[in-house]
Amino acid sequence: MLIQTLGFLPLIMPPFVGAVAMQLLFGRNGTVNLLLEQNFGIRLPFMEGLNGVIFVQSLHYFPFILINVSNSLRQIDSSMEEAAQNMGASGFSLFRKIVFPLAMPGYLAGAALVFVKVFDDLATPLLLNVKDMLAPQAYLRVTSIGLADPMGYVIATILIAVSIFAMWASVAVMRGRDYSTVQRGGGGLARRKLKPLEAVIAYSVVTLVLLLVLSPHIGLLLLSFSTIWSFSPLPDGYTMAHYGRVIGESSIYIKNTLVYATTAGLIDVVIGGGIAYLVLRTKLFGRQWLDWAASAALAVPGVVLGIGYLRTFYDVTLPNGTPLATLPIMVILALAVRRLPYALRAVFAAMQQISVSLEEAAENLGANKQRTVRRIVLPLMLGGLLAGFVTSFATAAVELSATLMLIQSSSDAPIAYGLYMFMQSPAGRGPGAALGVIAVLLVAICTFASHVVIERSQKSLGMKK
Amino acid sequence: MTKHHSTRSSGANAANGSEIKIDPQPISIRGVNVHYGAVQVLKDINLEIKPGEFFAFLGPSGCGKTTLLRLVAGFLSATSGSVAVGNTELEGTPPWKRDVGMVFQSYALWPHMTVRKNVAFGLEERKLPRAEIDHRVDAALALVGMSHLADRRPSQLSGGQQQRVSVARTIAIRPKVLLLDEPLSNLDAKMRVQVRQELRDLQQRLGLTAIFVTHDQEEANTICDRIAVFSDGEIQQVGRPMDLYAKPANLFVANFLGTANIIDGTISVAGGSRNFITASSVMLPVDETAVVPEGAKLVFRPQHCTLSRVDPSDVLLPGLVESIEFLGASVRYVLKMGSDTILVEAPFQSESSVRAIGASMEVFLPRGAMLWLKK
Repeated sequence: MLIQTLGFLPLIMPPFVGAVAMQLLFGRNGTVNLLLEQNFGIRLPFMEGLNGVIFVQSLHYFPFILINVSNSLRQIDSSMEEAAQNMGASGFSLFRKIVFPLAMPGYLAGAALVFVKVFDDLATPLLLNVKDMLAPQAYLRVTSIGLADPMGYVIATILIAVSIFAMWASVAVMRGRDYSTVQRGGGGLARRKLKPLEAVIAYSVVTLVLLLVLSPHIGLLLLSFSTIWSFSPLPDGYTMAHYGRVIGESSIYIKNTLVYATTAGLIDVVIGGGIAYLVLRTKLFGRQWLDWAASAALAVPGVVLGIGYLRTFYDVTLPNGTPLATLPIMVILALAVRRLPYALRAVFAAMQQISVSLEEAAENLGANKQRTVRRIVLPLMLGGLLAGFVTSFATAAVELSATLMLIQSSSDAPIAYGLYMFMQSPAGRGPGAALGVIAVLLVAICTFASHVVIERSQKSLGMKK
Repeated sequence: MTKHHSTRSSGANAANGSEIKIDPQPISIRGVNVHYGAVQVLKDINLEIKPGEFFAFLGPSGCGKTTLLRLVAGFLSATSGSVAVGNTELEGTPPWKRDVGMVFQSYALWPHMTVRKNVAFGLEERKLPRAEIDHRVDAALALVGMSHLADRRPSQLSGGQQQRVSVARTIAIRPKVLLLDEPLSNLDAKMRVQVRQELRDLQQRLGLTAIFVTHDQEEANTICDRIAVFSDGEIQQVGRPMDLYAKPANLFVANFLGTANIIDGTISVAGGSRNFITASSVMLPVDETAVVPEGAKLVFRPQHCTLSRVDPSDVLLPGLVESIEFLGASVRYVLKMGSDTILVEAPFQSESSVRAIGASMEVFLPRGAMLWLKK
């Protein structure tokens, strides 16, 4: 349960927000370094340049790997391990020869995902003042030199190529290595009883890791309540003023986010539902390509998508001369395209769970295709559609890479953009953190509520055992 | 539970059974071919199913029996050929306009609707007046003895109960014919025996033409009027259960229905006597009048053998006892006759009458039990 909650945090909080908090904790004059200097007279360059980017990203995306690997482990049948023990393997050699190779697909899947996400992240390096990376370069080129600069497009092309390669490589390596070996009734690896000393070591390692992983979030929370926090391990004083300021001034961001993310989520669910139906229930020629095309958006970095939209629609103008690219509708479209693969997967899974014979039974009793979809398919998919909507909504709500390119005025900006603006100035960090906390809460509440609804509906259908 | 239900349902049936009466319709299937891509899954199928008949499609999995049933229901279309129910050609009619009721293997009850809503679905789609729907739903539920569970959800029912609801849902629309796709395969062994009899009773009472798809010969034998045996997308034989067992048309049918000994060899006529010489040169006399097609094999049932000569004309099979299986009422001997292995079943009388392993043993086969079959 803790792992699952942790897993959602990186989804709903952009890493650059954590980066700011991390600077306060681990930066040159952050909590840890101040404490180290007072006690031992040393400073460690956690957050200098590339170190900082690597440190922030690896902490931030740690749960992705954790979730993938623990899924992998859960799918290893305990008889695999028992068979190895029966043959005389134990301890570390058992782990090295059996458990680790079997968990490998989880590592690879997680690693590929994290690679693509980090590769695409633009705001974290920018906020940490690291400009010599591809994504920030693409952004800076386009914003400072202008749309006509060809280098921006060269970088964009490289970004796409590397992303696609990373995803292809992970798929290629995993091919033929589906190690889900759980038999019916068999459940996962045997739990080990730890000796007291082992337990102490294990718990302290886990606690340390947890503290590290949670540190950006803790830092953010502290920052949002602090009056001044500089050159001191902890904030000097606490206040609610930032929240007041955010709610007073920045409610437009919250409103925009809700509008963008909701619309994008709805578009995704409708399109995703359509694609899933076509692929799974019809024999339409080329239906598989439709699925691939929709999923390909996963490999297109947000910066690239943003640049692409900007370039394509900037010269297309409305009668009054406004470029199409600056309209909020473009942000919504970009978000919808970016998040379609997520919604599509959820809707796909939901439709795959509906046995075709349920639909055939309806047709057999006199319901035509439309009536069958309305009375059987839609009600049964409700949970899946909602799940698809929430995934799209939650991730779209904190998307920055694509929107940073497309937002022209702050009155059209969503929360993530507002956060980025706040975080750029030291004075804005307090309100920024407050806005970040609000964003996390907002998305967390929506996600949690939908989980409850989905669980309940599945239980009442008796689909969940 | 089962006892309680059956008394309940028979009481209800007396009241409502007469109410649902369906005009029995014939089903005719002519020259049907079905291809999946390059694979031909049904080859030139011709069948005439009589009105009111309980007809089985029997065969191993992948033989095309379910494909043919789904073709009748309209879930796939034939490359060529036609299907008609009564006087109506069904080609081109979508499933929802066919009025052929189908009971699915998985029952296919909709989990988001109560039992009552499930049964009412087809009637609502036909836009019947509410009162008529309620009336028909009650009658259909009463017919299968499920009235008391009408407000449950399918997930709250046992397998047997779900099966009954599934039948009620189909009966409620008063279909022209009833299609049953392995309706018993998801029930445990004891329920299966009970439910198959209930299905038979129901079909008889309604006078409905029914097609029953199964891979289980016992199910087909016990409740069906006639059986079509399928293999490799072709009908091997159509006939009454007893005829199929006694006079199988080919090796597949002989082997699929019951157990059969199949022995390879050639016929030779020498010195005025006709003999069948097995692959390992065992010589068995053959009647002058017996019709033995070119390349046919000798087929006989283990039960038709006796351990002592009953009639002077019985054929002697010399064997060595390789192993013995005690089945309770009978003993099954696995014998080596030359290089052939044959099974022989004899009634069990006492332990002292059972032959020992390794002993040589003479077995006798009535001439009438010798069948000559080809592939």
